Amino acid sequence: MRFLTILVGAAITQWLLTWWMLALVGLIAGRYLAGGVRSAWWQGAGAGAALWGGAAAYIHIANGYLLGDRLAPVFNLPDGWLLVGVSALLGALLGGLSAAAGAYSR
Amino acid sequence: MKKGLPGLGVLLLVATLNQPWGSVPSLGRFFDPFHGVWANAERGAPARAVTLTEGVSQPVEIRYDSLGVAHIFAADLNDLYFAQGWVHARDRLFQMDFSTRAAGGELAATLGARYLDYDRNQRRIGMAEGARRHTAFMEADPEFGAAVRAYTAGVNAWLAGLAPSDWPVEYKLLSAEPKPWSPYRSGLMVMNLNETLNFSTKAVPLANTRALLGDAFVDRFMLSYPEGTDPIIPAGTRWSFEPVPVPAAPARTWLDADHPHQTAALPQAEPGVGSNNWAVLPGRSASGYALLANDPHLQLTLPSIWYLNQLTAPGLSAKGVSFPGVPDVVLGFNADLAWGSTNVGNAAVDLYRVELNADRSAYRHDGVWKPVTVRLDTFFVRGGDPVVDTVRFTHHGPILDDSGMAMRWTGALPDTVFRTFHDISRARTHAEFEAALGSFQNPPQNLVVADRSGSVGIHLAGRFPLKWPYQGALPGDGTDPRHDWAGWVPQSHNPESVNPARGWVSSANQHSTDPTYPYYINWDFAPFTRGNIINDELEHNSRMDVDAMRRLQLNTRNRYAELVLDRFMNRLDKDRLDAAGLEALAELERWDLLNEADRVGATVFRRWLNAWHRAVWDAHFTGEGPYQRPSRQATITLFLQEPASTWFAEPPDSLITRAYIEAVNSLVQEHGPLGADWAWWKENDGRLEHLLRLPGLGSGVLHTGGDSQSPLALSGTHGPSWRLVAEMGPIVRAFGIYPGGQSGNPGSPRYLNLLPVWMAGDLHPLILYSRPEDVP
Repeated sequence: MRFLTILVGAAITQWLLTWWMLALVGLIAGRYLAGGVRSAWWQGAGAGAALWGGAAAYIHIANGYLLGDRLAPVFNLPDGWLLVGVSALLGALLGGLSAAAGAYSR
Repeated sequence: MKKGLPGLGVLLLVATLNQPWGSVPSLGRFFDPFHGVWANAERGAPARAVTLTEGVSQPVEIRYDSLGVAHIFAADLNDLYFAQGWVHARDRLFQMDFSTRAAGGELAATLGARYLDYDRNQRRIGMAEGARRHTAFMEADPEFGAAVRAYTAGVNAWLAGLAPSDWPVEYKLLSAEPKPWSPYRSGLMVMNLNETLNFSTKAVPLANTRALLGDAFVDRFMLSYPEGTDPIIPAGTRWSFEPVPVPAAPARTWLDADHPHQTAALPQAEPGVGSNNWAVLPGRSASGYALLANDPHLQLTLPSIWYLNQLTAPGLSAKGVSFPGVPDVVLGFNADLAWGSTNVGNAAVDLYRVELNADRSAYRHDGVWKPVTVRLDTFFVRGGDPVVDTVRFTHHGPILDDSGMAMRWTGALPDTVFRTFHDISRARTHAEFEAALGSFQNPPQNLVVADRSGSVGIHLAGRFPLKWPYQGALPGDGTDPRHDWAGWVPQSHNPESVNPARGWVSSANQHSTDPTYPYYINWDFAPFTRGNIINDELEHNSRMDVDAMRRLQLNTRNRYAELVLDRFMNRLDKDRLDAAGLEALAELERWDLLNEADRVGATVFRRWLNAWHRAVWDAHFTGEGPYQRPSRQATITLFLQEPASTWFAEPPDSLITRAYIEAVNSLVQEHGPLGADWAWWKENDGRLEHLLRLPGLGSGVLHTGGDSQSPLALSGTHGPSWRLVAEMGPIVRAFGIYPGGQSGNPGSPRYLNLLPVWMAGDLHPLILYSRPEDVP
């Protein structure tokens, strides 16, 4: 439940507003939806990774890998997929930490 | 309280990811898949048709062809230039913004204190002030001023429609924001061009060489007309004017008391910057129509300095390349006329040793103390306090540094370079083209033209200071009024060649004229190599056609090798060579003297020639310098004429053998035994670099031939930045290409799509369409 809520809620609010909406949605979902802190962490991290990593992966493929592969060396990375990985990691960190913090605050 | 702690941790994480750290952008914003860098990844095929309705009086139709060449059809000229600004911004916003910030000395405000010295130098030499003058000049011109204003409005209309998520990738990387366009920034583009093409002097290193080796040395190897030169205006051309008096050169005694030695970094032309153009009269063309070719060699950047577009509205229909940042077509063709340009490379910067009083408030000139003018320049610094720089001016120009060297530069004059191209793109005949040149001042260009009536010509367009011979080659005496510029060469006396008897005109940045031309233009031109090859090929083909023109642009003959390789090999002491040396020699014997991509001989010869050139002069230039050494061309001429000259400190055979061994050893050390890594394309290191020199956003080293001394003048990050071939039949057939792509977005399929065509040596057909629906 929390996974889907964070995924959908963050997708809509982030698309309309700004990048840290993921953290806000994570906090709220963690606090008000049932479940423990550990589960909140995993669901939030999963939702964040799925949202950021999934969107980045979709764009990377739809773009024919052009931008990702050109930008990867700017970050000392050999391949555009690793940039997708960085996006997913950031999403996981934001989603997981915020949902866990929300659950912990109850 | 305790329960809220993790919440605080989340806040801290968000704050950390929201903040740029040094050169690392805000990671949260940057990797946000909706608004960050991924938003710049284009999906699906780029749009081929756009109708612009806002900001224009009537809809403007924009059509992109298969390679992304923009064709703009408007109902009036204001709408046309508005749309051109809009199109340029759409594809090249960051380039326009960043290159003008760099020109105007505004980088530290965006990139931080490490760019402060760069900015300070840009302002000191007058880039911002010059741009202000150009802007006032442009805006005062009713027709061109209107074009610049409409263009500005178009750029800003595009910008206004952008959300931060739409900003080009580079802004996101730099955590910067785009700045609105203004006519002043088009003025900065003029100064950019002046700085690139016209801001160069070797006066200080040459004065050091004079102090070390004397006047006779300098006069023989630098300040004399080089043997073997085939000048741009054919030798023997008669001048159709009565020259104005040229001042007499004072004796060089003022330099004896004073040895400039170490003056702060002064402008030097970048080696390898040069260009070709030529036009062939109908009598030497297979089709019976005049032909024209142009390939200006500039720094090869991504995005490219050029943008391909067709501009069509009542009163104008022209196609070719423009500079993003300025309206109009700069190089190209219309229905009646084609034109191209190379740089004259005139002596436009003179340095003066000035004498200042103790508090630097006055300088001595003509026996009296004259007041120094002071200007304060303020620099905004990202993450720091503003910095104020004090610039002192004499009537010569700004004082460059504490050494008391003042500079005079024609680039600071208000000029009309883009107004000239504005007029040229509308010219219908050679005569109308010539009329447009009257106002051209800076940077002087060798403009080649061909029209449909079969008339061709080459015109040195620009304004040259009236000087005594070689004035400014050495630093001048700023206290002596005889060293001031005496005025200007009347522009009607500029050299030109119109429909010459030999059947063609050409230029490759070599000497403009033979020594009979009564005015001094410069001593330091490009070597005669490219010009000789082009004229040689044109002389041997009396039935030129479009394809032969194209192939000549791709010619990789190595003129230096043609002149000396046989003699070098004959003098080489083979007994002193090891196995690697003998193997490399076998490559040289097989070499066809072309700098094609995979030739190993070209690599060995380049290293050999350079090692020999260095060895010849190392024996004489023993001090600290910086010194101006004789060029490779001058050294080759000395060797051919006087192989036993005392300037060769050891017997020629020994020097040649020593240089050869050094060259081969250096290759073995760098690349191991002779093999694929010795291929010329790797040695030549031809490549396109992103404006910010970011890895991954450049092209990588290009597997292609060329050399700075060949018509295909690719070398490092310099080379043919645009190629045009036009045949002036009843309907002009034109073909062109530049390396790079129309879009500045690395996430676009059009970022590099022109490069494979350029690499293959092909040209893209450029058709002047009369209606948007005709664009395929």
